[in-house]
Amino acid sequence: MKSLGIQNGFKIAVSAAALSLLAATLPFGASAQDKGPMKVGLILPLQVPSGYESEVGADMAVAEINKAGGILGRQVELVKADDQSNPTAAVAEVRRLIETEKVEALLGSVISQVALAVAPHVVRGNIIEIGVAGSSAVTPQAAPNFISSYFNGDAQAEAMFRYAAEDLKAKSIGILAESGSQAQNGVERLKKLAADAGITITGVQSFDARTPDMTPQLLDLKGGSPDAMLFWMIQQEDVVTYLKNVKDLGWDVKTSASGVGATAANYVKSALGEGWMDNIHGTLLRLNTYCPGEPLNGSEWTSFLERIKAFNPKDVEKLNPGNIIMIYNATYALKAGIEGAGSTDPKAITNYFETNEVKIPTGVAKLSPQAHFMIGADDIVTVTGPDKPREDGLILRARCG
Amino acid sequence: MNELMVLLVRGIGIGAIYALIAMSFTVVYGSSRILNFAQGNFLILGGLIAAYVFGINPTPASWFLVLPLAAGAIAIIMAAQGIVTLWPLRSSTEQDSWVITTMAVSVIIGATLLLMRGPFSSVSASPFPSALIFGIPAPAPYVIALVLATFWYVFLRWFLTNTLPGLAISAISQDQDAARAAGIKVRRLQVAAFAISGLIIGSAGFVAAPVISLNAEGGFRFVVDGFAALIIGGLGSITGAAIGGLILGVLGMLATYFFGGEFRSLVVLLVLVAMLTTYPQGLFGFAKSRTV
Repeated sequence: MKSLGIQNGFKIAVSAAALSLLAATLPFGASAQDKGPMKVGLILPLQVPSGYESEVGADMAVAEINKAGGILGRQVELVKADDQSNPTAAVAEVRRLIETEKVEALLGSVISQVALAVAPHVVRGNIIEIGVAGSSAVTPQAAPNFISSYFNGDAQAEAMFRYAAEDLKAKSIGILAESGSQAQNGVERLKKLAADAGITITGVQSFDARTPDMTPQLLDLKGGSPDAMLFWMIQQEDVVTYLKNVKDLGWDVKTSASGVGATAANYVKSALGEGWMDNIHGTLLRLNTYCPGEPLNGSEWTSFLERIKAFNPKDVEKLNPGNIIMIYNATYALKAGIEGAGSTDPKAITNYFETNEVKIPTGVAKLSPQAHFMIGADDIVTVTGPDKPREDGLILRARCG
Repeated sequence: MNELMVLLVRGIGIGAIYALIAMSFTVVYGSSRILNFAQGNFLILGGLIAAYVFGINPTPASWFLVLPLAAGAIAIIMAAQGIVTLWPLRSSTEQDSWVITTMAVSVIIGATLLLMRGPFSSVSASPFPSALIFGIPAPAPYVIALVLATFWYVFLRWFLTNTLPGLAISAISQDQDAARAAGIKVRRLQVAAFAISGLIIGSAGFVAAPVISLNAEGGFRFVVDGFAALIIGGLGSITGAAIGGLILGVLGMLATYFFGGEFRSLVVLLVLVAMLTTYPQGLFGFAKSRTV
């Protein structure tokens, strides 16, 4: 009896150990497989280039993630929706994704107003949203479940201002910005930076995206004779209009520009030809840049460009890698967040990002409870000659050494 | 460089594009009381022909050769749109099916462009350098648009008052039932008006291609401004459309310069409201009496 008891005890111990082992593997094993593919919503303005480029970035990242085993062992299935660059349409689409499609997480949007408009529905649906909004107005208070894989307007403003003040040695500046939320919030930050540094702002003007003519704004700003211009735009067509109108006015002014001032280089070249970007200095992610002496073909950016070429050879000449990397980043951040938190619970994921340094394609992200932007001011640098990339695709940093 | 002269020259230049859009609106409206909401898409189609044929390397001779062909192509498409739009009106003119039809055509063209070309903007350049007007450099598309607007204005004035089809269209615009009773082939002439409207908007898109966003959504802004020009000048008046466009172009420039870019739309809308409140028929429109 006794030995039987020992045998039974041994069996019970072995069974308990086996059950414990099984239970420990459940999140990555049986329950995950039972749930099948993980449905992830993708909300983008699919009718504009940045939306299409973001779609390419998400598709590319999901293909890579699925090939490597998915998220928590589950294959990712994207459910796409078009927000039409319209917050009202975005709300309807996000509700469809949450209520009808039953998505477990959301990628996008890439427009701050859209991120703010859908935020209450994302909270009600109890899902995480990782997108590319850049306005400082997208705070954890306004959109608690939203994380941006982008930099916020303040960081962009600081990079632009730093170049104008320290490299161009400007004592006075003029500001021309698009009328959208991200740029206008950035203008407020620029004003504060200028006031703190004792730099005079000679004029501030705005324009609607894709305006056919910026002459009246530029004439007004030129009248203030600033040492340098700060130009904040979102659409690449606006870079072309700016450069043409500045030339028409015979104005030889140095310009510190936002990101599109660098990433629009190919479009500017196709519209105007060579040699138009010598006086405009846009900002880029540090990993997209080089300083003289740095080796060729060794960077993550070069590898990323090659992967884009392989993934979408049809449109590769038209695509802006700067837009692709952001949602690509967001998709990998989603994987890191869910796997780090062990679930799709938005509170657990935001808490994971706020308490850990998380590796993402563009570097390391660590969020604070006050701001959910993954890229900081130090990750953004100003470049020179974006229309003349090195043979590995990298652009020369304006400040080296 | 005198700032006000710069604003005036460029305002008239961009205003000429608005004037062309407004004249194109007017030709269709005058013959059938239809406002064609697909105008912006046809403007873009005209521009896309220029971009597709030449890119940024047109030569003056080939450019002049392709211009009428592009306008003709848009005229044929727009005549087809006219047939579709006018078809439900064959039994009764007292209905508004044209609102849906013209909007549907706009959506179809926009979606087709998006599916065929993606969301990317095409680029185009003028074969001519900037011109100096009173010492002010004016981009070639503005100068050519002004010449084109003048041409279409003179042509339409002549056509509507000196040719039989033109006089018949004028008669339709005054009283469609009376014109039909007099034996005028109303539907045929209305379709012809759509085609003429297509010639105007197609040529406008072709010459303005270097200054407009050539993508599926690029025409919307211009249609709104062209419509505002129509209201300022007077609905149904060719002269009103031409002058209204120029006024709007200059007004937009001055409002931006003096008040800031964010106030441009506000100023234009305030002028529009003031016009509708105090002078609803517009500068060159006609007040209509109503039988009670």
